[in-house]
This record gives sequence, C-alpha cells and structure tokens, in this order.
Amino acid sequence: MRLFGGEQGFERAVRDELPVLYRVARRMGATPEEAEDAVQTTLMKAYQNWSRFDGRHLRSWLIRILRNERLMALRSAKPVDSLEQEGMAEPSEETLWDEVAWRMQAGRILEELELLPEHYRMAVQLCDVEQMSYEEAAEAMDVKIGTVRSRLFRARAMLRQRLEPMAGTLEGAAL
Amino acid sequence: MTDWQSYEDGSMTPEERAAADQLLKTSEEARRELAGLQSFRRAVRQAALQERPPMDRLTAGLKQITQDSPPKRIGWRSVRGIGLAAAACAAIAGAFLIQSRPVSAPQEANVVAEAYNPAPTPALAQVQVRSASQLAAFLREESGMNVPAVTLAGMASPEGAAYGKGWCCYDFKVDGRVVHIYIRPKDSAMGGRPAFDHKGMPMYRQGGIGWNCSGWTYFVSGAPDDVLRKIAGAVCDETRPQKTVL
Repeated sequence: MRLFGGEQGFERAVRDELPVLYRVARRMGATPEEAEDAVQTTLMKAYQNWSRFDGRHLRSWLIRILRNERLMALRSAKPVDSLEQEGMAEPSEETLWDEVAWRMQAGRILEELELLPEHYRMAVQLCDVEQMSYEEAAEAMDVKIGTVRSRLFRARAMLRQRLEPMAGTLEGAAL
Repeated sequence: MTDWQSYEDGSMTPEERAAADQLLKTSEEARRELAGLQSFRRAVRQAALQERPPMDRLTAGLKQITQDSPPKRIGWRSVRGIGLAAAACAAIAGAFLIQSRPVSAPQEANVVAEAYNPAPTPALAQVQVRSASQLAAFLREESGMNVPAVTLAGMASPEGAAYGKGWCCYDFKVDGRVVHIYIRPKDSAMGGRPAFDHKGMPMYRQGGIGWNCSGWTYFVSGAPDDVLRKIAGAVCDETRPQKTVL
C-alpha cells in the first residue's frame, strides 16, 4: 500500500523526515559528511522499496533502513560496540530524579550521549529527541516495546548520573 | 519508589496512576522528581536539536533520487557540489507543480527551508508550573524580555517554560505531546517564502512553523504538522495586535 503515488508522493512523504534521519545518523557516530551520505543511501533504498512500505510508521521504516545500512557499514570497518562498554558503569537502581535546572552547555550533554552504548543512545534519540512513541521506536530498532522502555530507563539514568554534577539548582522554582 | 518514566509514558495501570497522582498532590519530593525527569528530557532534546541539518543538500539529494531513473547512488560530495542551484531548481519546479494542480483550498507553497534554530544559546533556567500566567511571569521576570503572554486557553495544558540568552519557550501539552512555543526578538533567519498564511499572517515551515509579528519571531515545534498549525494559529490570534474599531 502506498501512501501517495509515485515520485512526488515519495518526495512529499519523506521530505519532513530528512532532519530526523540526519540526526539519527549523527547519533550513530557519523560525521556530518557521513550522515549526509547515510541519508542519501537510505533515501535510495527507501525509494527502491517504496511499494513495500505498509503505510504505517514512515519514520520508523526509514530509520530502520538507515540503521541497517549504517550498521553494515560499521561492521565492515570495525566491531560494533557491545552493550558492555568499558568504563560505563551500570546506573544505580536507586537513582532518584530531582528537579534541577540543567545549566550546562549543549555540547556537554551531547558528549555524554555519544559515550552511551549505541542501543541506549538510540533509545534516547528516538524517544526523547525525536519524540517517537514506544511503538514507533520499537519498530525502528526492531525490538520489543518493553526493550525500548528498559533501554530508555537505563540510558536516562546513566546520562543523569554523569551530567548531574555539572547541573545547577533552580533557586526559588515553584510548582 | 514511583517509576516516573512509566507515569510519563502512560504505561501505569489505572491504580498505579491514581496512586502516583495522589502522591504528587501531597509530596513535594515527588513533584520535584517528576519535574526533574521532565526538565532532563527537555534539556537532552534541546541539546540534540541545536545542530542544524544541511537541509538544502539533503533536499537536493532527495530530488535527484526521484528524478533519476533508475535511481543511482550519489556521493555526498557531488550533492554538495549541486548545492543552492539544485535547491533553486527544486523551488521553481515546485512552484510550477503548485500552479498546475487543481486547488479547492488556499494554495500552500511546497517550500522546505533549512530548519530554524529557535534556541541558539544554552538554556539558563527551566521551570515546571501548570499555570499559564505563572509561565509568562516567570519568563518576563527571569529572562528580562517582555515576551507576550501565551495561554492557549482551553486548547492545551501548560507544562513549563525555559529561557536562554535571547529566547524564551513556553511548553504546552497537546494530545499527550509537549509542544514548544519559542519567542525571541525578531530574527531575520525566519522568513523567505511562506508555506501558507493564517488570517493574512505569512507562516513559514522551517522544521516547525514560524512567523514574525510585532517585533517578535515565533516558532512552534514538537508535534505533527496538523497539530502545529492549530497551535500556531491560536498563538498568532492570541498575540497579534488587535485592530481597534472606532
């Protein structure tokens, strides 16, 4: 089932997803140039397989193509990082959220995000940055919804543990 | 210990949710925890959205793929070489297509501009309050900018606010999503060819929906296009100067 017919339909449907695909590629460790290339490759694959798209979650479908392409490229270059990344301690289950004002440079947040294992990093990117639903993110990552939730929980806890020492406290904030 | 992630993503059972709501009413610590999670998510999203994708090259690449038959792989270097010339051709072709198709509703320009960055500086402070008037007061007092008040009365529920040097942001919840309404002193980066108009106000699609009015640049993001259009229209109606009928 096609959402819209032909080339124009594909273009119209996909255009709004371009920045998302670029950001996801960047979050997968691509340089800006590699990310552009990855998006281009994804668009070509998607265009060639447009008739097979079931019309449900376009963004998830495109991200899945992009991730497959990117992971294949990475495997041929170097081993893919595993869940057990050295030096990245598992978060404490007792981590509590506290209301803080995150007075920090965006670059610092992105630096820490880049240090997360790819599975966790992608969960944060899709759910928190791109604001996809669990169902959409699960489809994009080809995992179960429960897996997305647990990866997201761990990723947020790990990020928070690493970033919190640099955050300030909002004085006089009221709820 | 309450799982605030489950609370946020709606996966609690009705009983768990009721218990969490009760806890929020009675416990300052619970409210801080939930607010902390929400603030954290906002900060991560803002940080990640600060990088601007090269939309002109990405769009040119997309156009080239659909025009080639069969599609062939194009390296990014040759796409970079196409650059603005291809973007201009795409705009001209788009304008031709718009003129040639039958229209029963006001025409919209099939324009894709580079995504707008409404928050070019890091957030200095964020707050979560559920009163629209408190949001405006917070932003005006803390940021030093006399930004227009936005209430979206009846359309959406206030979630919070944030500001940085040169920008402010209202957050409202609509259909389970947080929509961000950025306001900053008029920015020349918001402009170009309008995508559509709202009661005579030119509106631009630049990774969200933006417009300029009375010395301010407005930008809404964080939801599908149809939702953003409704919110943008409501904000525009609420903040634009009213003509006095004598």
